[in-house]
Amino acid sequence: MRKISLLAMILVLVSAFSLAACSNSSSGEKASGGSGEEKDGKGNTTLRFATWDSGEALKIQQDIAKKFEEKNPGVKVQVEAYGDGFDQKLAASFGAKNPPDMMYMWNFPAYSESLEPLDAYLEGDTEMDMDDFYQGLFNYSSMNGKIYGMPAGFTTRVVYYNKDLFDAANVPYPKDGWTWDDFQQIAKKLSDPSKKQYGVGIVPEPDTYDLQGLVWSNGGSFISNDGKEVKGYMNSPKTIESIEILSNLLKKKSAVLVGGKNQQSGDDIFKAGKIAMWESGIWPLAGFKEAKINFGTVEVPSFGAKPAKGVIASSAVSVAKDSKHKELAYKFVKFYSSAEAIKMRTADLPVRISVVKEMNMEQDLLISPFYKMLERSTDTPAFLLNSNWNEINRNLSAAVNAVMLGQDAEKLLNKAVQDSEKYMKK
Amino acid sequence: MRVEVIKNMTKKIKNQLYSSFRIKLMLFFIVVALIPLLLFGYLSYQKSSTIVNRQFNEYENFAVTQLENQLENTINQMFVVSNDIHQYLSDPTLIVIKEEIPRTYEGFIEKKNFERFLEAHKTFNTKGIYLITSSGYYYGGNHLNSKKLFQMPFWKEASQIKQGEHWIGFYHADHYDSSKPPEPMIGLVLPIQSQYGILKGSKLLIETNAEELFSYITYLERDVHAFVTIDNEVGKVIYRTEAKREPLSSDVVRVKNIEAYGWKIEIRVPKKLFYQSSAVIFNYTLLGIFFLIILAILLAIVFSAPLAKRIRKLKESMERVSLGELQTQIPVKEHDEIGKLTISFNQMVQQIKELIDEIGETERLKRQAELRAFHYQINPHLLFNTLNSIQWKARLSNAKEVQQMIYHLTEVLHENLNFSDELISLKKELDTIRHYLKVQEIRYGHMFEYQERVSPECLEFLIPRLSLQPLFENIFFHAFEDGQGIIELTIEDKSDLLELTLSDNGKGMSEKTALNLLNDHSSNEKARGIGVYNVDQRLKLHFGSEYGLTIESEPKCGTTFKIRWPKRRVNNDQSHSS
Repeated sequence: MRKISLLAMILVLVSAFSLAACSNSSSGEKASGGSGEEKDGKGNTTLRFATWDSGEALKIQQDIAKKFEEKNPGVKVQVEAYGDGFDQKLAASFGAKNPPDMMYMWNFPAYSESLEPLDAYLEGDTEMDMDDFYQGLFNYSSMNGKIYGMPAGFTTRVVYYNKDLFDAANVPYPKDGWTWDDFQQIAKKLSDPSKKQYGVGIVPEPDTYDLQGLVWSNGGSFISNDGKEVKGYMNSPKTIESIEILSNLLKKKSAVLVGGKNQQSGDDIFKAGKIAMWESGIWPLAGFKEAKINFGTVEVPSFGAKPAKGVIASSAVSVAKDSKHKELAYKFVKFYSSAEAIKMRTADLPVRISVVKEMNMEQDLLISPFYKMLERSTDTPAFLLNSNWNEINRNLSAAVNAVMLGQDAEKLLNKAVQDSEKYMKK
Repeated sequence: MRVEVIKNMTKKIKNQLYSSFRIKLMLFFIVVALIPLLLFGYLSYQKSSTIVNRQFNEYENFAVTQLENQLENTINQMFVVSNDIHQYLSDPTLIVIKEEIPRTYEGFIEKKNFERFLEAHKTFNTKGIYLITSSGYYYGGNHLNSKKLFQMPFWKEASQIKQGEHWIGFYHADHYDSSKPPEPMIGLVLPIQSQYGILKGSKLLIETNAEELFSYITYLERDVHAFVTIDNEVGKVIYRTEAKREPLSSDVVRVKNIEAYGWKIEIRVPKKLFYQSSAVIFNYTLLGIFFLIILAILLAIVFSAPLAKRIRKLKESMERVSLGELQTQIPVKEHDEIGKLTISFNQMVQQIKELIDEIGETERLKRQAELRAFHYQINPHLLFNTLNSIQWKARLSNAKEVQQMIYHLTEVLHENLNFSDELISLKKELDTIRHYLKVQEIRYGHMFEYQERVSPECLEFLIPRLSLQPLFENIFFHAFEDGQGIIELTIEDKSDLLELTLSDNGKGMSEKTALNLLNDHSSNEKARGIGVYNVDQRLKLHFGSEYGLTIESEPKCGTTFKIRWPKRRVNNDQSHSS
């Protein structure tokens, strides 16, 4: 009996000890757990992905990133939305040698030196069917024969028209193959300055990139095909003529300036039914549908018999040269251009032929002009032809902006050429 | 009265408490368990709460330091940028803004150059750098909506500052044409000191995304439950946590000053929340102690129950014994203290039983003797009267010898038939023996010799009546033939007892016979030596079993009887003398 009671005492003591120890260790753990949260305890690899998108388009990209995480356990994709500070933030991160592993990319001349060429990865990848992509898109993500980004989405530019306004003015809807003469006439008919209604909206400070389709359609160009000459191209009569079309529309009050500083955007004014025609990419399409606008899309007009030309705005996904997980980053890029991911991207147009066929997009009357314009987008944009295009473009933009305010196009473009000569490599 | 009641109650409770072995054992267990428990509970609580509080402090410190650094860096950065831009704007060799709103090629070129310059000053967190003219036109991107900006409360406030001053503060940027919710910003507004009329009234706005800054503030507010107040150099509140709570003097307050700009960051944590984690640990420790007390009680019950049960059993057995069930014996299973106690108890009960049996037997014998005594007492008077008559007749007949014989016989019988006093003085007993010897002398003639050595001081001590006569009878009947021989009687004073030695030179007897003499022959009254046995028994009955009669004898070598008994005087034993 005595032994038992002794044993009991020991037991009680031991349990008291162990309980005390337990509570002690658990509280210690709790405390240490708090500080450990900052590290990634599970050994996950985190990939950073920078995008300029925001809103709905950003949400889509986050969904794609999540899909990728599901398929690749242990990998976390951190989507960094740089928004309108994209260039500034990307440049800062490259400068700090801490760039995102993957990023949206369009300005390959500016960044290609910091990007990883993907050719080696693509050659070693038997699953990747390069022929399924619209080949024209690779022009936009290649530099010096090397692919620096896989196409993820793109858009061409078409003309949106408000059917209700056309119907009200008893004007037939525009059809593919129409000309700038048709355009000007229609714009005139649909303009009624007293009601603040105009045939077309024009941006006061347009991106010269977007104007290239117009210039090319007229057989003009901002720069020579070898990128070494602007004189005789930027100030050629064909170029001047095409730019003047816009300034003339404004002068004739067939057009109105929209989307300037402190102004409503052209998309909003089109939605409000105050402009009948609006030249843009795929971006506002969903918004117009949502706003229940009765609208159509049509190819851009041509200059008489000359073929209409388009320009592509493409988003590609690139891998940073300084990335620590290039293989994994390529895997992400590959997934991003896979049919599965492309189908999730509803904010712009599929880059894979098979996906377009599967989804019958060419039969969609609103979408088909975009693909027709893709076929017309065979010219190489100026920024890919000259590495000093940024500087040259400043002069060109100043000239174009002043032209939009009613000044003489020929004089200003000549001046722009003159001011740009110093940037030309001879 | 009430005091009494309470006293009684406490006494009752005390009794209850101390009367149960089980409760005592339980209390013991609890005390034994509680001392280390409280000690360790206290120590672990102390230790862990110290650690947690320290860590909490470190986190808080970290967050505050981060906030401070971030704030300082951001403000620094904005200052440098604003100075740089201001410098640039006031240098006519660098920039000539001739049109407030650019309309010409040159104007657009200047604008683009200036915007490029602004762009170059943007860092990762810069939301925008704008030069905003009084008309609402601005340089630096396209996203700003200056109409909305002019309606912003912060802008209205910042517009009132004079040239040479600057405004810094937090706000939510709701002046962008964007579907996104307004982002938190830290902004710097600097009026441009321009000698040119075009930029008169223009202001430089530098906006830095304050999400990271606010993340530290949010961390402090949400995770540390702190109340953050940021004051600027003139003591104006720039930021204050929205809470429906008044600052208390018990709050744990931490104040940091950003020296370069005279800003003050005050972090106020309610004391209760500051020590919240240690309170949790305290509660858990209490809970642990509570459970351990229950455990101790359970253990005490489990371990004390069998112990208490055995002791209760022992107690019940004792009660049964006290009720007279002397055959009670408790089985002993374990040989611990209680087992030993049980064994002792069993032995004690056994001994009591034996003692009681013995006493019963003694009482029975006594009663028997008394009955017998009654029988003999029936009519001694008839006998004595007759004997007296015979004696007188003998005297008248001058039969002197007969008369002598009857006289001595009467004396002997008188003693023999006297039951009044069980204990008589040695002197009286020796007188009786002398009468008896006279009778024997008359019977056998002068054949034997009797020697008596008794110290006179012994004569007053008491001896049971008729202790010596049976021994003399034994000598005459068995030791001597025709009464021939020597008898010696010695009584010695052996300090606390008396020793009587009676020896003869007769036939003697074997050891077996001697032993037989001292054994009980009540069943066979005719057997030899009943008298000797009776003498021994009566001595033992009166004085105890350690006293009595012993016989030393060898055949043909005589016999020696020895009686040892304690000294007792008449006045020592009043009951007997009266």
